[in-house]
Amino acid sequence: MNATGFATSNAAALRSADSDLPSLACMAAIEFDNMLLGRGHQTDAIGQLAKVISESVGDTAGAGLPGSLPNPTTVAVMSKAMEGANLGDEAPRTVRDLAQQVFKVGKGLADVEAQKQHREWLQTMRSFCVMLSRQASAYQRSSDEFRPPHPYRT
Amino acid sequence: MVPADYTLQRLRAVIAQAKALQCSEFPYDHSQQALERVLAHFRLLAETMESLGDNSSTEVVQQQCAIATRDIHVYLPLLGFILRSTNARNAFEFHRPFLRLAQDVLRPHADGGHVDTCLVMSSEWDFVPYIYHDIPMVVAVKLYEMGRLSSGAAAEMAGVPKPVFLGRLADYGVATFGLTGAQLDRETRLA
Repeated sequence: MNATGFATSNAAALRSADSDLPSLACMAAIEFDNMLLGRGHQTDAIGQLAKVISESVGDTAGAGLPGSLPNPTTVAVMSKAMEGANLGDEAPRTVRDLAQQVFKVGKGLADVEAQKQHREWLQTMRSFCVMLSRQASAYQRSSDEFRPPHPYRT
Repeated sequence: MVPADYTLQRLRAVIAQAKALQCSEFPYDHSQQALERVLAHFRLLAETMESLGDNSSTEVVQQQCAIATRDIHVYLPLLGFILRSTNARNAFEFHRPFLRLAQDVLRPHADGGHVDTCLVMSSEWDFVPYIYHDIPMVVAVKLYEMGRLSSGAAAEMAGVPKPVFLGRLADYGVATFGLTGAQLDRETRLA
């Protein structure tokens, strides 16, 4: 006999607790695509993604000494996504450079209302979101890894 | 068929399967709630796929297809898990005490009424720790340890060469050369 537990709550709380970056980035890409096609101006996923991105680099992007280094997976995912979307004036040479660029992207996403008239920016952000979704998927742990350990295997 | 259409068909098939499972009899409604959540997730995915038009960006459509396919892969075993929590397959007398345990572990500081821990108990054998690809090894090691089989016969049962079998005994907490005189006699006789 096996059991699995889960916690239910209202829908908003469930969404806010969702840390599925590949899905969130893909939804943001769809919202950018819809804006480019003039099919809607929904920016819920873009706003959430902006928050996730900003939080992923945290204090490291600040002007002072970094409070803590970002997660290595975050560094790999973000740098590949930015590279894939040709974002950033020049390739980052340090983790601090990358964090500052990522922080800038997060700020831009949070300020989407002010930027949405710029078609080129929308296209770049759409590409970034697709690349971020792809990269985050590649680094995501497989569900098979969550299997319980074998009782006889130490 | 374009990838979006194919993915949409697969999503609809999963939704149909989850709906069919809802007709099952469950001893408590937590299984139904789990099914509802799975259904809501796949309905949202299907709606998103349907909202993509012919002029949508190809890279966006392809990535959404990839996300949907990944979720089908992840959620299908979960549907199987829920299926095996129906009345006929359930030790439901354990549900309440285990639920209390789960509540204490998962949500020790739940604020009244807003968060409710649910528990699905299932007989899904894929998750039973004894059902693994090395189950023949486990059985063979146990029979060897009990003295019912020689190391050669146990190795044959496990489907591995004898040196490999002897080498892996320690992984299962069985001493390779911890035989008593009587056991050695029996081992020799069985060989």
